[in-house]
Amino acid sequence: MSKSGKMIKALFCLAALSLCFCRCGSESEKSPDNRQRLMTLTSDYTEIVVFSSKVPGYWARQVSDSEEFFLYMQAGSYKKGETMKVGGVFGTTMAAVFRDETLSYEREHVTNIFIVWKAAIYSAAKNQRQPSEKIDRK
Amino acid sequence: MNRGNISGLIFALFVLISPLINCQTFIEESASVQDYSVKIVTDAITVHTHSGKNLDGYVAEYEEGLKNFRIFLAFEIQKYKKGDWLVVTAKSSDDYIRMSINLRVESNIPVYYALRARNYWAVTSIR
Repeated sequence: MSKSGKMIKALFCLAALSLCFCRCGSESEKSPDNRQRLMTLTSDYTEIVVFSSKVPGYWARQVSDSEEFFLYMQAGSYKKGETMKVGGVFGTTMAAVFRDETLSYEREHVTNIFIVWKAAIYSAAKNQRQPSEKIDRK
Repeated sequence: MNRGNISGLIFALFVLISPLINCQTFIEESASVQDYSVKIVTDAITVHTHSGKNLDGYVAEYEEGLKNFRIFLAFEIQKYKKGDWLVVTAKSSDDYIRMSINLRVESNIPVYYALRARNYWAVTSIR
């Protein structure tokens, strides 16, 4: 094998190894629970309707990019304006929504729904997380 | 004519016809969706329509050409109250309900689906 051929083979091996290392990691690191996001609640406890089913939760904006989400979770002692650290998965759907602030209703509103598995109030002043509170969804 | 040509022809036909189909759908939708300034005259109720659907919503009144019309507005979330004035974008349907309001004779009330609704005072900023 020529020198350049060996070099190419070595590069391929290096690339394959680096890909392997990238994919390695504990299962807990890969679980969606750990992909937590900071959200600021923009509403009190409310509900939306998806496919004729009532979905309870809170409206929130993601701190990093101000994108709006509906956090699907049970009522807690959370209030409008609080920042929360939430973990879970999200998707987009058409929902019927009612905004308490503007008293407006929309039947086919494109909504980002975040299904919350874990939530905790985030204290920015102390820059620390309070003990996480598991949410038992119905 | 071989199979490739036939499928090509079908595809071309589809490409040519699809805008016409979309236009037709758009015309139908724009004909049935309209804005109404309404007053809600009942509390939130659940009704059984002529076609057999169970719908939640309100009976509302609007005025057109010095005449009062009553319609049933189907809402998925019922947060408005009797007496509220709304500007509603609603889609008409062929369905209706039969009911009497304020001891009037029972009549057919057409069913409309509310797509968007806002408080009238918020829209006109008069409050």
